[in-house]
Amino acid sequence: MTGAAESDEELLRRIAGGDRLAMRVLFARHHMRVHRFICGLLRSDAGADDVLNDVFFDVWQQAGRFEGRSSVSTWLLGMARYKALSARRKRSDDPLDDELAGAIADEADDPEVIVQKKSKGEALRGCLAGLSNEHRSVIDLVYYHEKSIEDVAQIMAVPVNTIKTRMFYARRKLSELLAAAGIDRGWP
Amino acid sequence: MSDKSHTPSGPLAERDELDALMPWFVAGTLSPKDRARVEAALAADPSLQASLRAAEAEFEAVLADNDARAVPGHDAIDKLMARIDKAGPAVGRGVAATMVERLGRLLQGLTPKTLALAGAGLAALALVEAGFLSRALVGSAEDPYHIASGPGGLAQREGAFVLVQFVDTATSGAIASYLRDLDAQIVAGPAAGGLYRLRIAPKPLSAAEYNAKVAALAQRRDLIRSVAAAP
Repeated sequence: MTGAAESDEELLRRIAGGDRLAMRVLFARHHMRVHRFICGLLRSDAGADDVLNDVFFDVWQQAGRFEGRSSVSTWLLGMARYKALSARRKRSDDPLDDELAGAIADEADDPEVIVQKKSKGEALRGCLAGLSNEHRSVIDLVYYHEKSIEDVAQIMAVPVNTIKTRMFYARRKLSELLAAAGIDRGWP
Repeated sequence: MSDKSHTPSGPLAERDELDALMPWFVAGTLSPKDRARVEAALAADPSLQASLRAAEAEFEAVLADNDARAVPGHDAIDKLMARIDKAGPAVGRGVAATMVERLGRLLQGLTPKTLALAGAGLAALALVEAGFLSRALVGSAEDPYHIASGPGGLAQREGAFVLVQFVDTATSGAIASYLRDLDAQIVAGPAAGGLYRLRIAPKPLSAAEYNAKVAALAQRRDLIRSVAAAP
């Protein structure tokens, strides 16, 4: 019979004390989801490994400063977002504030390509790539990372009402992209 | 492509807010109060079912899309542990870096309009942060700690000044050590963009001396991202 899994918070306490094994466990537990979040923000897997390394290296250095005001995974995703956007800024050599980041959208499939996709689900996936970074991040954090409204607000460093507004318009944008591809999803 | 015109900042109308809450409802992460509110609205207004079905489809698409993303390299953990081994013990690291990062995130979360409206308040916050950072970085220096905005503060004294941005990976220890070697102090910042004002000499320098100091700063690319002259 085995005991309950050690909590993330306990692992962080051990990491703060220099416990390398705890570091490996925390990494194993979270690195896949953090990496996928980084890939979404970078719009590519290029450089994602480096950002992931930076995030967990900061965990090693700053574990003792974790204040427990959010879950460890929320803390990790907040760091990942900050570092991924910084990496994008360095890549483009342009200033990148939150509003500008929100304006950056991927070169999604054009409507003709989307409509050729086999199913409505695949078309929807294609349209996700057409969202801005800020809209896409909210969508990912809610559906994939299962974060509450408050957690998403903390990760993205904006008020709760802003997160609700972004979610509403992200969903509307998805409907617009689908409509441009000739698909009516019945909402709004 | 910009979607800024599609993201007004005002509060949502009641029906729009219900549509906004639907993804959290589907994911099961709404508060009990909001969940009851959405359930009641779904029962009272059949037209909300379309929003629910759309959210369920979004849920499936996002899961599939994330699962299809690249996975980290198989040696990711080995690279991390090698970096940790090289860096040495973690105790006491990252104090100032954390504050810089927090303020960076705070500034990142503010739109230019908000920044303008925040004006004096943000400036005060920046100066308070500068105070903490200065204490963290040069607390052991002979020159006592001063709030930069206070009467007779460092920012208002005579001297030679520059504006710098530190690199994201610079640790408090490395910055403090370098500033001590340079006999320099942070006297203000961080301002928007992570800019700090450094006093690099207690008295005005000749042009040649000043340029030499700026050039020396610019060469420390492991610590300083950019440096510019300041009055």
